[in-house]
Amino acid sequence: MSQSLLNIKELSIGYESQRALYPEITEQAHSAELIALVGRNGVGKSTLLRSLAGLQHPLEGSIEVDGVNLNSISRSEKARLISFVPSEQVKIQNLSIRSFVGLARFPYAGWGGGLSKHDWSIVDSALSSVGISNLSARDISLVSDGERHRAMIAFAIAQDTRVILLDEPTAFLDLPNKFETVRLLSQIASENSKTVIYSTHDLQGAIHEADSIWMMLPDGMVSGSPEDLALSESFQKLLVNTYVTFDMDTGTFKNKPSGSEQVYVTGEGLQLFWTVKMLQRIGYSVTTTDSASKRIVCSKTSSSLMWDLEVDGEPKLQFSTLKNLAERLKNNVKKCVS
Amino acid sequence: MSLLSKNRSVVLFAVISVLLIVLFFIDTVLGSVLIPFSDVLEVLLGKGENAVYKTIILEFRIPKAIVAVLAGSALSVSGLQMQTVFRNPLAGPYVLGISSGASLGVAIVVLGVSASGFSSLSGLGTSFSLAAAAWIGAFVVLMVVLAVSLRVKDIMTILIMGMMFGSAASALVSVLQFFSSESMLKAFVIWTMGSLSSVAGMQLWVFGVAVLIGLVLSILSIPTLNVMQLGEGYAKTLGMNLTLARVMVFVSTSLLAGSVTAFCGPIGFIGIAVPHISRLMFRTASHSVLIPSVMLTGSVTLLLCDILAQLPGMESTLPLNSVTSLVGIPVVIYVVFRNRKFAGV
Repeated sequence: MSQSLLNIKELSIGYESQRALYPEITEQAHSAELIALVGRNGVGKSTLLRSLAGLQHPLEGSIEVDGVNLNSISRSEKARLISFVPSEQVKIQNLSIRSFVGLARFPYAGWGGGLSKHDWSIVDSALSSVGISNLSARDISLVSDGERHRAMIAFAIAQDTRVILLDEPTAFLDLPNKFETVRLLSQIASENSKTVIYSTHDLQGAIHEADSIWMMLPDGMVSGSPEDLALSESFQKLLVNTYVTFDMDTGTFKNKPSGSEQVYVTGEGLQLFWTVKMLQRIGYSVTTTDSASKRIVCSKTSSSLMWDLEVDGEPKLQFSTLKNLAERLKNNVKKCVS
Repeated sequence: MSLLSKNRSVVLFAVISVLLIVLFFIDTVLGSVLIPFSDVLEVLLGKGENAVYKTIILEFRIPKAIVAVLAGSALSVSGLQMQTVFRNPLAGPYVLGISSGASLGVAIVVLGVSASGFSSLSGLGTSFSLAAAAWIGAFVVLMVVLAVSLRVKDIMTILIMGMMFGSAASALVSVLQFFSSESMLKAFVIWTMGSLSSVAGMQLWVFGVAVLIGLVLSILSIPTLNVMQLGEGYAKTLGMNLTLARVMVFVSTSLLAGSVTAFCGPIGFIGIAVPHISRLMFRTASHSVLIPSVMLTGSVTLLLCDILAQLPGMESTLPLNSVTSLVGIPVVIYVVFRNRKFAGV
């Protein structure tokens, strides 16, 4: 493995004159590595990112970038090694996106704050690398949330640092924008040999895209590749005292445990797949033994899909949508309970 | 687009500059003594022979117009700086409590002395002692704000401290007012109405130098102001020395707003309204354009207010502070309604 770019040693985070918020953290990050920082609300993800970015002082420990201890260098030298994209959106009226990204060159500008041609070419290539060159003259307060967040990522690229930190970059985005943002971060990390660390609540997205996951559990940090964490059953630790479970077979999270009542299903292809999904959603477990008291037969005619429900001691029923079938099954459960 | 906006800025700067010269001239023509236009021109060209006209124009009207230009720039630049640093469109030159500090200084001189029995003290009304007192009051508030901002990192805390300190100063002024004699009270109330005409001779030089230093500091702050409008997080990530940057802006604002308050009284709403007029016209958030544009626009606005206060064609004049408020308030209301965040649209 390549030499570590970001080296965190025995870092203790928290607010001045108070006890440490979190157990000491020792982690390494490498170049071209995309890291997702996950953890429950309030565990200290933002505090860790803010401490790494130098927005607040760590209580103890050291942070090194490229072998340089951040405590031993000036503010502006630090600003050339590590950049931070806050979760709060920039909504300043009359500020064009290009001018906004131009401000990222502040650590490189002289006393007058003027930017050179070289600076502007870096700004323009940052804009094009996030795909918003066409918006460069637009007012940043008037573009969509997704576009604004890309401008904020372009800002970090233009700041030209080895490490980029982002606080919940996908929080306000719709589904396609979420995926696109994480893909973009992955691309930035690999193409420019940077370390990109982003905090997120989208564990599912992190499992699919991140090279590593840093999991902030209440009793300490657990890290590794998403697959290693899955195999060591670490995700379950994040889900203690919740209704959510991690399904090892599919690599997805589910928000209900499988029900105790069994149902037998026959059918084929996608119709069977989505029928099973529905049954799991409403709390049934699917069995392959036809001795179960409820049996569903998936069938199809030339124009539509059909479902037959057989329940012991009741007449056979036919449904044309899964919605109706689900309602019928739910009522059945209620009857049994009452 | 950027070329287009550049051209737009150049045209706007040219138009406002011409307007400034025209209004400066009108301001010297108008006054309670009617001086024919041709005589004004002659005096300005150094050819006038009427000694009375000469005195009125050279010793009263031109200094007054210069004060309008300086005070308009000063108030507008300090208002812009406060709006940027506090990231609040309704901030103005007086949010740090500078004006209240200055008022307290003046009140102590005008009212405090009378309350303690020295009512016959002569020369109290001279504007220079008032200016000195106002300056000291503004300076004390500045020191407190600086002391707070060196220790406290949160900008909202600094804002609240400034406002509370200002309110405390106002409360003390009320106490002094309650115990003062009628004539002293009147002198104080007249000071609060604002006037550009009490600055002349040596005072004009002191005022001019103070304002120029404040303006130079604000020009030096242009790069950091551009970053500060993004908020503390960005300022720190970009390696900016936030404390130093704020101290520079606060010193500049105190020099500018404090001097205007000291010499002209507390002139309201110019400092809040003019930065918005500039933003509407220039459509930029870059302080390298905004600072010079608010200087020009502020000068033009205060000249205009002074012309209106003269009530052209009549012998009496209006209190300047009322005119600036009546001109500024509609702008502020417009901004509040235009701002989606405030209007709740």
